Amino acid sequence: MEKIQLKNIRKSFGSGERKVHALQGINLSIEDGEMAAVMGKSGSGKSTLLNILGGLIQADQGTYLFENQQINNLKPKQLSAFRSENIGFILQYYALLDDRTVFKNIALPLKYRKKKKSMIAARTEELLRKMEIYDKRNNYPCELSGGQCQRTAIARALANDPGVILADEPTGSLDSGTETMIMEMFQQMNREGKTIIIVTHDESVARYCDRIITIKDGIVV
Amino acid sequence: MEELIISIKRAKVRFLLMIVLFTIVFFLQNFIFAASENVQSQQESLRTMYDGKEYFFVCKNFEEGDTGIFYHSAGRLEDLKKVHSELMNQPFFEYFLQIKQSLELVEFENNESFTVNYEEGSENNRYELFGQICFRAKAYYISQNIIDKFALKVSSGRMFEGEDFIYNDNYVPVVVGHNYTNNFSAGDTFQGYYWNKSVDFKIIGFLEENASMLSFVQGDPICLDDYILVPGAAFTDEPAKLPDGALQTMDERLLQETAYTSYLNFIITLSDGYELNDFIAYYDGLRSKYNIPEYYLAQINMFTVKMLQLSHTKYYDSMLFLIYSITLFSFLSLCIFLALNSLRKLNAYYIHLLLGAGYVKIYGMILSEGLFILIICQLLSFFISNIITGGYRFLPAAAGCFLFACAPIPAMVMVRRLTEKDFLWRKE
Repeated sequence: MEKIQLKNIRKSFGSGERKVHALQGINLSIEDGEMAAVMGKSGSGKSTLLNILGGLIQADQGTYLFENQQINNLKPKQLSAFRSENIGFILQYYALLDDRTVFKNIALPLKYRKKKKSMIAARTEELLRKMEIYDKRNNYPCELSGGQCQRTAIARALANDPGVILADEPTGSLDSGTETMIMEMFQQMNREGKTIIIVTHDESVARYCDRIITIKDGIVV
Repeated sequence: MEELIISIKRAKVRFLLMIVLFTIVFFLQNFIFAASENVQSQQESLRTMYDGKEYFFVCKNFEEGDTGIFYHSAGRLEDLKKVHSELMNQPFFEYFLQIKQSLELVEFENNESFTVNYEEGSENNRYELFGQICFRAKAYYISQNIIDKFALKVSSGRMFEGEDFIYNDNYVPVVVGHNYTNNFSAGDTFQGYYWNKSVDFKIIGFLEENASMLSFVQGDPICLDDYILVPGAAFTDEPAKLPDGALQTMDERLLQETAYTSYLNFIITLSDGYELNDFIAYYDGLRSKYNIPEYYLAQINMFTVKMLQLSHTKYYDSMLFLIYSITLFSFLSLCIFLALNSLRKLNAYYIHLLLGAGYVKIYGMILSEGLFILIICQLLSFFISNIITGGYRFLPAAAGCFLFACAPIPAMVMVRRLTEKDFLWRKE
């Protein structure tokens, strides 16, 4: 079953001579439960594709179907609800809020879905234990190692139990030992049924994936 | 709320500086607005004093020896009454009576400012009357149209009405200045002399604070806070018909003659379509008919009022300019502060968006920072204003709140644009 379908997706930024055509007609299908790597050089349009998949920005043209539901005509409020329910983001530099503890960082997506306090606490503690960072729950991100930060980010991405995990260079700032551990976590999540799309330019990361999608100058090659 | 607390903690000094700045700004706004209100009310008062028309002072001018002949001529009082009646009821001009004449009051505590010539440093003019210490208090005898002309209003009691300008033997109604409120109440009476006759004066009302009128003779605005307004009444009863046995300190006929003779000193403003020569011809005819003595005519100098009007207008304009400048400056400062703060927090906003927050939530975070500053500063300026100036104007506060609630809009627009475009390419 196709989880995600992109048909002739186009996106450009700026105007006039400074206009940049980031995506120039992307056609792509991602199966439910697939683990795919999106590769390409800097400026090839990988991050733009990830942001469109995550519902952070809308494509200028084309059709984006998520579980056969059209996403590119959703209103901003519906789009944020879509993100909250279906997508978990993991970024290279973790994107943790520096002034909140590990616990509060993980709990935030649940808060945005207006879950009950008791439910938020229970789910957060479950994830803290699963990611083996329970003892760090009251620490701030600046007090954690890179691996712990990324595990916090993964826990946060899993908080709402989304169907799709979008990861942008998730091991880009980790040493090779931690990279292996994180990628094994991704594989574990994939085995548990998550659809995972990893944007990377690291072939060793791509090797963990079922499929490699290469983007060049805004199109899939 | 949590985001706001975090934001304040992270930028304590900046928030503190903004709170100090806006507290000063809101206090100044309030202070200047209050001052401008005073100027505006003074302007309003000055507008009643100078309406662009020309005013003339008409004054009887007795030659030496005229006085005795004038007062003791047969039918004199009847002639004077007819002259007064005709002056009041003709189409050529409007007749105003405004005579500065003191009244006797029994001394009361802290009454110095009510004393005649107090401003000039008067001599002690206290004296004993019927076993009580009295003094001469500042007063104006006026005609009824003076009240409308200068838009005089009472803060309590009532203003003169038509019947107050007809003499009755029971009491003479008076309206007193605002400063008398500390010593008297409406309905109080005091003894004094009305055109040389001992009468009871009854306080029927108190003028509003800072009520003022133009002194036609001096050409200056007079604040009436320390004054007593006395009606220049008409006498309908003949002196012979006054009740017998009443305690009279002087001849009733002489009383009425004194009053009506005083009414020959008056102010006029010509009606539309009439010239001064029309008045002269009319008045000369009247004088000839009723044997009224010579008079002199002088145009009232409005220079002081005109200059005051001009300076008040300039002053008021300057105040408005100051208020607008301060408001604009502080509004722009808040816009810039919130925009810079949002720029610093752009990564955090992006993370919130990733985690499922909508733009409404992000806007709420920016708005809460603006509102926090706004509410704290308005509260502080409220307390400071009450302590320093003893009052707080809610109109500028409400207008300020409305305007400053718009200050986060540029920051919101900027965050929206940046998160949708440039920020997507950024990495921490």
